[in-house]
Amino acid sequence: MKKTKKVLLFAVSMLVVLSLVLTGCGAKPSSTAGGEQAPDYPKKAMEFIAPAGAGGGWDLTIRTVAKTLQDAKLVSVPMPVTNKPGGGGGVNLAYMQEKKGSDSLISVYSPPILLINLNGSTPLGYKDTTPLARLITDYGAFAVAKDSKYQSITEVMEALKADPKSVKIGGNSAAGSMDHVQFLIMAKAAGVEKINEIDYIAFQDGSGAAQVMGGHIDLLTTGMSDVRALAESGEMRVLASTAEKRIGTGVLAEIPTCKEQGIDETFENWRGLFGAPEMPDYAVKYWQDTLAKMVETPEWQKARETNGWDDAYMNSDEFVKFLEETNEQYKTILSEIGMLK
Amino acid sequence: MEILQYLFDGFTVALEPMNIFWVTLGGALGTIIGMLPGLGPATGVAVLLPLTFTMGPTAALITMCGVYYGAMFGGSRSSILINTPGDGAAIAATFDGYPMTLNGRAEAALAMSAIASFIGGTIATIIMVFVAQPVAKFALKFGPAEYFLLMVFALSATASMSKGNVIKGFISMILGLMISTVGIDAQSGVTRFTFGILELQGGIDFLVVIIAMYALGEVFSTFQSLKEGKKKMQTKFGRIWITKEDWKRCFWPIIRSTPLGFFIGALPGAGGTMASLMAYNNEKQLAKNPDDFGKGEIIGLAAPEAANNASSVGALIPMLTLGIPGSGTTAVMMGALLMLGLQPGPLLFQQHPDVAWGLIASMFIGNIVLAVINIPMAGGLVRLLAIPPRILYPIVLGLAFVGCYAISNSVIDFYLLVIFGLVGYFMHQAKIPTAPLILAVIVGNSMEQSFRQALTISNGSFAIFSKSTVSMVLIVLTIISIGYPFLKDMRKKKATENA
Amino acid sequence: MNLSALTAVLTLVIGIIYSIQSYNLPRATIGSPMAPVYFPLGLGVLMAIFGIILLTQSVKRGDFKGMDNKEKGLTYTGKLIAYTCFVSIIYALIFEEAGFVISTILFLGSILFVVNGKDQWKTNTIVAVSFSLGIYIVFSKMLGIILPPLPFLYI
Repeated sequence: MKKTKKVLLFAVSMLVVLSLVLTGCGAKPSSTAGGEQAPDYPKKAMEFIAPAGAGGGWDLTIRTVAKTLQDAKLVSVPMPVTNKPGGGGGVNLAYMQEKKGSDSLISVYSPPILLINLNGSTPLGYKDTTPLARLITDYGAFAVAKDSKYQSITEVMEALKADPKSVKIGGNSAAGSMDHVQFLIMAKAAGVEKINEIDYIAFQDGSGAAQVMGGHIDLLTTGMSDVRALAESGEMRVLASTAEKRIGTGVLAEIPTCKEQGIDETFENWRGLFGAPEMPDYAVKYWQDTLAKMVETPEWQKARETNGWDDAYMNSDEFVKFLEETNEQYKTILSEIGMLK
Repeated sequence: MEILQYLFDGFTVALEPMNIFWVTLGGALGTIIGMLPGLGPATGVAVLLPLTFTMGPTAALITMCGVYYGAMFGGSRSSILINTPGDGAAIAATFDGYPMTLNGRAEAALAMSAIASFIGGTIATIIMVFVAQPVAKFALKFGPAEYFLLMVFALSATASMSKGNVIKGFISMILGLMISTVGIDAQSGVTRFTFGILELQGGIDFLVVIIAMYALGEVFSTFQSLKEGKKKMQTKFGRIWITKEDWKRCFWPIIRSTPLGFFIGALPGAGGTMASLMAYNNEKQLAKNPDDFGKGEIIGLAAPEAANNASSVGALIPMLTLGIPGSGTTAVMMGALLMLGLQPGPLLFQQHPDVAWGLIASMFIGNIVLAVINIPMAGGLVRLLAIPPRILYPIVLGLAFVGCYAISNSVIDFYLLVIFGLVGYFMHQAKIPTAPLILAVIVGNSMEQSFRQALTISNGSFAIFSKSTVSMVLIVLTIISIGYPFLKDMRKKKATENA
Repeated sequence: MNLSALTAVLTLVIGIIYSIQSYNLPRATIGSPMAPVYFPLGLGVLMAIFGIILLTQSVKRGDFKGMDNKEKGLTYTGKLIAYTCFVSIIYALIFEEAGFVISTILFLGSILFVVNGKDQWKTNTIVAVSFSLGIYIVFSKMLGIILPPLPFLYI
C-alpha cells in the first residue's frame, strides 16, 4: 500500500506542476507570434476548420477550397481540415476565441453563424471573427412529391393563409434554424399573417427528402443542392427556388423563383470564410488577395459547377456590410416566431 | 436478364488489376481504422478521402467502399478481444464475443465474426443487385409514425430480454433515454439539460457512452482481478478452432439475420447498430437455451455480425438510388462523389452505369478480399492477448481517450468518458444490464423526435400510429417481443409444476 | 446498506431530480409550449416509480439493516478507480495545452506506474512513450486527424 501511495503522490504532483507550467505558457506563443512579420507568410501549416461533422455543406466547402488552393498552386503550405462539430457551429466559435490573434486559423460559415447568435444558442457571433470573404451561395428550394396537389408556391401560401395548419412543412435542420427561417421569410413576404402557427417538422440526417417523397409531409424546405438529383429524375417537383433569378441549366433552369411567382423576396445560403478574431493585418491581406485570385481560377469554376454553387464573391469589407444587413432581416423573423433571445 | 449483363460489365471494371489493388488497400486500411475505438467507417472514409482525389471516379468509389467494409469488419475485432467496440455497430459483438475470449476461444470468435460478416455482406449484395429499387421505394413508406414504432420495437425487445431483473432492464433503458434528451430539441429549438455547456448542444455522442461503459467500465472491473493476480486471458493459441457443431448451429442464424440487417440498413437513419442488436435479440428469442447468450454463445456473435455487414450494404441503397444519405458514412461518401463530379441519385445507374455496377461488383470482390485478410489475421491478433493485462488495460484506457477525442475534437468528452465509465462500473456491480442503456442512447432522440413529428403531422391525433400496414405489423411484433419471454417462463413453470 | 438498496435510492433520487429539472425546462415558442417537456418529464416520473418499487422490495428484504458492515473506507479497487479518474481529469485539463504527446506520456505513465508497479519502470516508460508517439504519428501525420501538437514547436 505504502509503495502505491508514494508513486501516486509523485505522479500526481508531477502532473499538477506540469499542467500549471504549460497552461501558463501555452497561451503565449499564439499572441506573440501575431507581431509584425516578414512577408514570407504563410510559413507553417494552416488550420482549416469545418464547424460540423464530415459530409455536410461546410465540410464540403472548406475541403473544396483547400483542394483548389493546392491544385492551383496558390498556397504551398499544408491546409489540413479539422472537423469541430457541436452547437450548430457554436463550439468552433468558442474555440476561435481561444485563438484570438492567430494568423493561421480559417473557418467556413454560412447563415447559421447569425442564427445561432440570434436564437440564444451562443453569445458569440460574426463580430467575434474576422470575416475574410464571401465565396459562394446556394439557394433554398421548396419541393413537393411528384404527385402532390400543389402546383406552385402561390397555392401553398394561399392554403397557409386560409389555415396555417393545413400544410405540413418539413426541413433538415432544427426549428429556428436555416431551413425553417428561409420558408418563414417567404411566407411573410407572401402575406401569410400568423407565421408562428405554421407547423415545422425537423428531420435529422437529411431524411426530409425521403419523407416528402413518401407523402408523410407536404413540402420540404431545404437547399437546392439537396434536391437537384431528385428534381432531375422527376421523383420530386421543386415549386420554387429562393434565388434572385433562375440558375443553372437543364431541369434546374426550369425551376421558377419565388420572385417570378409574386413573392418579392430572396434567400441566399451563402458561405464565406472567417479568420480568428483580431487576425493580424498581413494575414487578412494575404487571404483577401489569395481568395480573390482563387475565385478566378478554372479549378474553382469547375468545382462550383459540379456542386451547383453560384458565385457570390465579396471581399472582406463588402462581406461585413452584408452580414450586418442580413442579421437585421433574420432578427425580425425570429422575433415574430418568438425565438429571438 | 439485363441486370446480369450490367453486373458482368461491372465485374470487368472491378476486376481490373488496379481496381483490385485499390479495394484491397482500402479494405486493409479500413480494417485497421475500424479496430481503433471511436474510429468507425464514417471517420475512416473521411480521413482517407484525400487519397481518392487523384483517382478516377470508379477507382475512388471502389476504394471508399473497401474502406467502409474494412471498417465494418475491423470494428468488431476490438469488441471481441478487449470488450471495446470500435463503433456502434460492433457493440453486439461484445455480448458473446468477449465471453468467448474469456473462455479461451478468441480465435474462433474472430474467425466466426469474419466469416459471418463475409456471408452477410455477400448475400446482402446479391439481394441488392435484384431488389435495390423496390427496397428503396418500400423504405419511403416509413414515415415518422413507422420510425417511432420501429424504435419502440427494438427497445422493448432489448429491455424485456435482459437477464435477471426486468425492472433493472427498464431502469437502464430509461437512464439511456435520459441521456439522449441532452441537447437542442430539433422540433422546438429549446435547449435541454446542457447546463450551459456549448459542446452538449448537439447531444452526447453515443460512441462516447459506448467507449466509456465498455472500455473504462471493463478496465475498472478488472482492477480487482489484477490485484488478485488472476489470469483471465487465454494463453494457448490456435487450439480450439470453429467446430463442425458451431457451423451447423450458426448457419441458419446467419441466413436469417442477413435480410433483417439489409432492410434495417436501407432505412435512412436506422443503421448498423440497430440492425445488429435486433438480430441479436431475434436469435436470443428463437434460441433453445436463451440463457447461454451472453456467456459465449457463438450464435450470439455470428448473427449480429452478419446483420451488421448486411446493413452496411443496405445503407448504400438510399444513397445510390435516391441520392439520400441514410447514415453518417454514406453522407461522407456522397460528399466525395459530388467532389468527383458524380451526382448520386436515381439517374446514377442510367448516366454512369459503369460506376454504379462497377461499385456493386467490387462489393463482391471487397467481401472476398476482406475475408481473406481477416480470417488469417485472427491468429495474429489473438497474440495481443499475450500482453499482460497489467499493461494491456492501461493501453486500452489510452486508446479510449484518443478515440473519444477523434470523434469531436473536444476535451469535454474526456469528462463524459470518466463519468460514464463510473456509471458503467456501478451498473456492472449492481447487476444492471448495460445493453438497454446503450440502445436507448442511440435511438432515444430519434424515437422522441419521430413521435412528435408524427403528432405534428396528424394535428395531435394518435390514430396516425395505427394508420398503415407497416405500423400494424410493428405493433404486433412489439407485443410479441414483450409477451413471448413471459409466455415462455409461464410454460416452463407449468411444465415443472406438472412434472 | 447494500448495493441493491443503494440502487433503489439512487433510482428514486435521479427520478425526482430529473423530473423537477424537466418541469423547469423553457417552454417552446412554436407549436405546443409543453412539447419539449412531456417526454423528459415522463421519463423522470417513470424512473421515480421504479425507484419506489425497488425501494419497497429492498425494505422487505431488509437491505437497510446492518448499515455499517463493509463500509470501512475505500477498497483497493475503489482507490485505483478514484486514482484513474483523477489522472484522467488532469489529462483532460492539460491535453490541449501540453499537446497530445506530452500529456499522453504522463497520463499513461502515471497509470502504468501504479497498475504495473514501479519496478517495471523501464517497460512502463517504453510503453507510454511509444504508444503516444505511435498514435500521434498515425493520427496526425498519416490519417490527418489532427491531435493537439507539441507546444512551441507545432510539430
